[in-house]
Amino acid sequence: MPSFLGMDLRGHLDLLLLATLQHTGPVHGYALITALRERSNGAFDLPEGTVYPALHRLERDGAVASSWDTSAARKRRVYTLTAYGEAALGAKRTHWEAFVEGVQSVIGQAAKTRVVLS
Amino acid sequence: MSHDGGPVDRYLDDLFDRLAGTGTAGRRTIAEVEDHLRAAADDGEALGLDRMEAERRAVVTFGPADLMASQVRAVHRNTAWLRPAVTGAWLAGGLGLLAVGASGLVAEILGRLFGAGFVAGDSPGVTYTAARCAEYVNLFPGAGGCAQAAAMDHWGEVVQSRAAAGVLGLLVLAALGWARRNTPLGSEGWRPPRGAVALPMAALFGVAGAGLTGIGLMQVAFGDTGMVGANLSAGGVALVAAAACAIAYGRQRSARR
Repeated sequence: MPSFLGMDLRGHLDLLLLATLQHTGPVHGYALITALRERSNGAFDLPEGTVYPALHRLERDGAVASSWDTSAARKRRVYTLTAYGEAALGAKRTHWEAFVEGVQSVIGQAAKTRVVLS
Repeated sequence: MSHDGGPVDRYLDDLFDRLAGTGTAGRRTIAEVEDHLRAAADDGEALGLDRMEAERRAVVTFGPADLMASQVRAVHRNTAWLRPAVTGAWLAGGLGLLAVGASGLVAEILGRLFGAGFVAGDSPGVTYTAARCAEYVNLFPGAGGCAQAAAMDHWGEVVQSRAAAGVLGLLVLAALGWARRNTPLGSEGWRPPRGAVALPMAALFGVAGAGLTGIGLMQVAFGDTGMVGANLSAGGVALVAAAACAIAYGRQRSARR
């Protein structure tokens, strides 16, 4: 299961992949995974094989498009963010920010309460 | 350099077996995984690992083949055909309604050229009550009697109902265009295969066109020109639509080669 410092990332893998793809531009799977790891400073513990079915699902849902690149020594599938993917990324980013804000509020409240009680 | 029999090859063989029967999706997955594992092994080798160790690490980091295969199978399950079927039916429905609308336009022209009775009217021998007759004549005061007034009324109904279908067809096609630009319907997975809409539509329009035109021509041959325009307008448009779909199919086939 994909994780970040031990936390389950399954529900957020799409957001991570779309955001990385937006950052890298058209890219093949291995480079995308490498970019994702580098952008997180190696914090993401990702069974790399889970990325390809996720990319296939995102393509099926219209968020990414792909085509074969035969210019390299090995045939490679190159992924691109679609217009719908850009919109989906925006929505997922908003949800994530709301989630983080909500959690932060609760954590902040709890911390304040602890300080008051002590 | 050949790596036959190394960890990457063994992994790919295992994955190949687990993806048996998945067709294009499985073949694509194998190609992607092979590229990934060999690139990862190349990177490991560049960092100083020997080839076997680099491949072993690449395989471990990639994750188990059974998990990979089950996830690929889940994404590409057999219901995938439903998506292009939905957009194909949507497109076909829109085109069909548009053709009905076009036949309304032709019925309007035929009515203007040959009279309302050529397109619509009641069957010969139909009689009207005084109230019904008054109603028709009231609607069309310039008509030369009940039968002609009724024909003009029915002509209007034919044209209006077909025009309404045409407008609905335009809305259906516009909605499809919007959905293709703004939703996942524009993606490859939702696109009907080339010719999958054009060929059945050509056949459907062809059969309908031949049937309706045949009926219309038989009416003319037997001297029954009442309402013949309704059949001829629909049949003529259906034949033109069939020809257009056949041409589109031919172009799609030649583009595929």
